[in-house]
Amino acid sequence: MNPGMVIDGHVTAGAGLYFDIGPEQLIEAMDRHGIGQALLAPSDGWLAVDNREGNEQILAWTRRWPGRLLGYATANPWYGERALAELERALDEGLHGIKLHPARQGFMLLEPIVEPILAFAARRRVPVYIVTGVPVASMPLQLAELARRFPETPLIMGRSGRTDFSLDLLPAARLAPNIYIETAYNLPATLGAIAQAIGPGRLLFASDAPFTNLELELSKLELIPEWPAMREAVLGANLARLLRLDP
Amino acid sequence: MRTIDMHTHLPGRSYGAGRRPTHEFLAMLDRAGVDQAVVLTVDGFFFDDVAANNALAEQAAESGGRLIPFCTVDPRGDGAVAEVRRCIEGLGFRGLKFHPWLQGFSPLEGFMRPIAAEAERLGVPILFHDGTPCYSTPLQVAYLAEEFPNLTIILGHGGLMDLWVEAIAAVRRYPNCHVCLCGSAPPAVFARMIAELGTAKVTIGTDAGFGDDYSAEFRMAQFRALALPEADREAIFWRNAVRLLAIS
Repeated sequence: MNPGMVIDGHVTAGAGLYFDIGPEQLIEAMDRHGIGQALLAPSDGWLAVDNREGNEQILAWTRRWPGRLLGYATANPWYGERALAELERALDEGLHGIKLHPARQGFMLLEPIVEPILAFAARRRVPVYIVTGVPVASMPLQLAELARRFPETPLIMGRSGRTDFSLDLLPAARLAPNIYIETAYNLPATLGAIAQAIGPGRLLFASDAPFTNLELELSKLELIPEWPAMREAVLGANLARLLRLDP
Repeated sequence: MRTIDMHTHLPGRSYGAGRRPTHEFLAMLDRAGVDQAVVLTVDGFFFDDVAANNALAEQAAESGGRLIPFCTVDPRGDGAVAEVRRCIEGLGFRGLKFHPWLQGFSPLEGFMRPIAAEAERLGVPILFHDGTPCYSTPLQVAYLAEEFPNLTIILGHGGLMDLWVEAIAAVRRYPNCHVCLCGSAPPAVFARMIAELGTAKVTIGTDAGFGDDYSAEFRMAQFRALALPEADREAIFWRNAVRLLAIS
């Protein structure tokens, strides 16, 4: 990774329930906005049931655009040992992290079936991106409780508990130093407050493109108080450290 | 066996029940075999909190010591801490009750801090409605236990149907977080919670006065049918309550 390279921590491609997103348009948008690398995440059916199919497709795209696309693997925790085997395989093949989506995958974040995956992630030293903000299934303070049980596993609080758990974001981040916050769905004043409360070292640029407007996801960051001082960390260095990308 | 119900509500004009004479409320507890009950407001969540606390104090005074009142306050109000002090020190209330989603606030909001600090100073517990996103989850409520380690927090329902696993996590995480088994979750869930948590921080409640009149009898019958060693039964039926309420 080049110093100063912008890494986007969460983007999506593939045919989902409502969207069919070709990776080419993602690469074009990355080129247009100076994004060096992006972490591609599975969605919908790939998350819920067709885990291997999704992991394979994401691997294929990372190979087609080497050095540009990185990828999250997923496995539904209900598959138990089979889930761990699939994650092991996908990481060995070259994926970089794990994504979980409790509502799509049919579990509640504090249910024991997710624990082997978090222990596995700690062993493999990869971050786990978890979608939060779904009542009952996945709420920020549940993520914090899980983070305290697995202090060696970096957890990215996907969607920051939006929409109804905005008030929980900072308490959760304070409870567990292994929780990371993404920039998507947070606006500059909030991002500034987060950086002030927990330090900029746990703030990651992630756009959730193409669902969001990539240009605005980048330009809004310029409005964060004291942005220049944290720019390099938030835009890439923090994530590079989490993913152990070569400097 | 002596039985203390840790979670009942004085009927009021909310939900159309209407205020009940104290002897009728006590008769309902008699039918359920309940000797003493923590009594909470309903009206105070929506209307004048001070008037609701006064109503609780009046009816508790008519109960011969059987009704043990907990106050509520509008937590956003300027007079919140003073009203807590008036109820606890002036009227003999034994704790505080909040129902965040009905009262329209999150326990994580800043104005809860002086109230929690006052309860901690007074040495009385705060019982919360819990089990309901997005403002009343067990871990949101228990966050006060993290911030105020000498304050006793009671999860008033144990997570209800959807979040009892989270309630277990909260009670395990914080030594000062207790749970009142009460509400819609079935007895098999309560039995599982006791198996996971032990009985040291567990009490029981019926939510009597809220909804169906038969709930006190029905829920007490469910608790009596739980297969428990005698010492555990005593702990959850009254010994833990006596300690939490600082009564004889």
